[in-house]
Amino acid sequence: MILDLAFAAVALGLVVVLAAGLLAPFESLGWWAGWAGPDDMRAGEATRLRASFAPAAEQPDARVVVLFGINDASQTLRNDHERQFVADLAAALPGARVIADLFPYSAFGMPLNGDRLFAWFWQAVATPSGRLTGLLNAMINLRNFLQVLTSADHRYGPFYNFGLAQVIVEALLRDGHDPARPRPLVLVGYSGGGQLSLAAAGYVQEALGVPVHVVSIGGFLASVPGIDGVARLTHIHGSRDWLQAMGRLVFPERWATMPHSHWNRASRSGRIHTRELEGVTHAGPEGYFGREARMADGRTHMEATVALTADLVRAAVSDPLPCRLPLRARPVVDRLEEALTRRGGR
Amino acid sequence: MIGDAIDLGFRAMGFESAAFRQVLASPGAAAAAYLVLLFSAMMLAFSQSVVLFANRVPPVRFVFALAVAGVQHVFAALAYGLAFVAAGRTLGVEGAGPGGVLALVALSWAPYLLALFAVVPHFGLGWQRLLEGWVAALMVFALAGGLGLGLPLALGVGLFGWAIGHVANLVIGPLLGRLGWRLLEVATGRRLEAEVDPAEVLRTQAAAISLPAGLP
Repeated sequence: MILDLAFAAVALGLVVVLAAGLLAPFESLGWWAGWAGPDDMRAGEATRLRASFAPAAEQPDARVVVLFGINDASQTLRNDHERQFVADLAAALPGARVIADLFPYSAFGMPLNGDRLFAWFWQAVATPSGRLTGLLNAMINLRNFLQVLTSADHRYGPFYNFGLAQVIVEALLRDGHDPARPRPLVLVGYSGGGQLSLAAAGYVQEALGVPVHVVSIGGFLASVPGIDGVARLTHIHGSRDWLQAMGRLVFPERWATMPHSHWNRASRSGRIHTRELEGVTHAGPEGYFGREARMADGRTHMEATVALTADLVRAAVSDPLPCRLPLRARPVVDRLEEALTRRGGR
Repeated sequence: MIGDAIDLGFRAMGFESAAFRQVLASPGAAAAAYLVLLFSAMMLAFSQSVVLFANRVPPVRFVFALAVAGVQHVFAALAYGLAFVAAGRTLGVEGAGPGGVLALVALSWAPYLLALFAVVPHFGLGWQRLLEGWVAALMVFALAGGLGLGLPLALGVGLFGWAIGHVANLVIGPLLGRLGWRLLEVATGRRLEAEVDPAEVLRTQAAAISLPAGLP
């Protein structure tokens, strides 16, 4: 009886995972095809970018965009650890702007509790307190993990990653990014957010013409074309974080047997660096954002992660490195900038 | 009929010799084998539909194009069958006539009934490769089990058939490929790009954007 129940539960779980996997790519494909999501690839593009385009008079030393892990349902439902990380990082980098108000697990940045058919469900699952019950939390993790795989897939990745790059570019424009005075850009991604940062980086660099640095905090990283546009990737990993290490196994193009992959070429060119945090796990009290567990030098895990990330941002400011890819997607911004300049709007 | 066909397909997937022998013995089972091939081809077409999404094919045209792509896969399978027939005749192998061989090859495509799962991100690519190997192995098994050739001879016919198919593909493949692509374009009602680069698409769109009212 118990065995039957266990078998049924496993079978049901497998069906749910398979069904979720089958549906996963269609959000970004449907968006790209114009079947679903905002109509921003057509007439809305110029209008939306124009609304976002308001260069700030004072430009920061650098802009830092933070993409969090797969347990996020929305940028408005963050847990305390994530909020503190953003606040501490901003405090450690007074000359930089830290932007974390975007949801990367959707090609068009739509949070799970946004304008969606099942928004009510995800809203119910992810409570504002951030205390998610195990099974429901697993559903958000599964849903977002499959989006990470979509990003890593060579068939779907170009569309997902391009959409995400647009979301990032818009966030930067909203923040006052000035194409005429580009500042170094650092994409900081935790866990699945690390992979998304890496995947979108190429398109972001091609759109804005700024050198893009990526800081992966325990990132589940694949070999993606986006890495070609990254000036420097620094992968911070905890010595007890086995989840980030799974990326090396799951994505064959990171294996040494594929020397011409994007990852291995970047690695040979010296653009991939790793930094280890001793004793740190992937998540939980002893994870990168742990506020109680301490390193050997007495700092909390959170403090060590923030300090190392801030150091890497400062390094990007002092040595931004050149852009690696030519500008390609920029003409929309160029045309608007030209028009505003001629009108005397800037 | 559909239930019987699916059942036959799953028996074939399990390398059951009786399923292949049944196809040669019974016209009903042969028809079921072709039905398996049609379903498999449709599943395969759906799993490869990313090119239709990439080219922004509207929903109704999308379904029509899937049907066209599925039929193209059916013809590809039958072309393999003809190559096996030619190989068998060249090697002097006695066995079923062309119709029987084609039905066996049709049933060998049964693993593609599961091609839907190739849609799954990342892991689907590995699944797709697995299915390709599975179908290749089943085609040889079908010749061995269905025609009673024995594995070495079936392997020889299979390899020779593959070589014939490869040469034929070199000679008329590009022409057929263009024809197939053209048919897809007719079905979708637009010019299709095999590789779509989103950044390039945006670049083209940007050039066509008319600036909002009020701007010079």
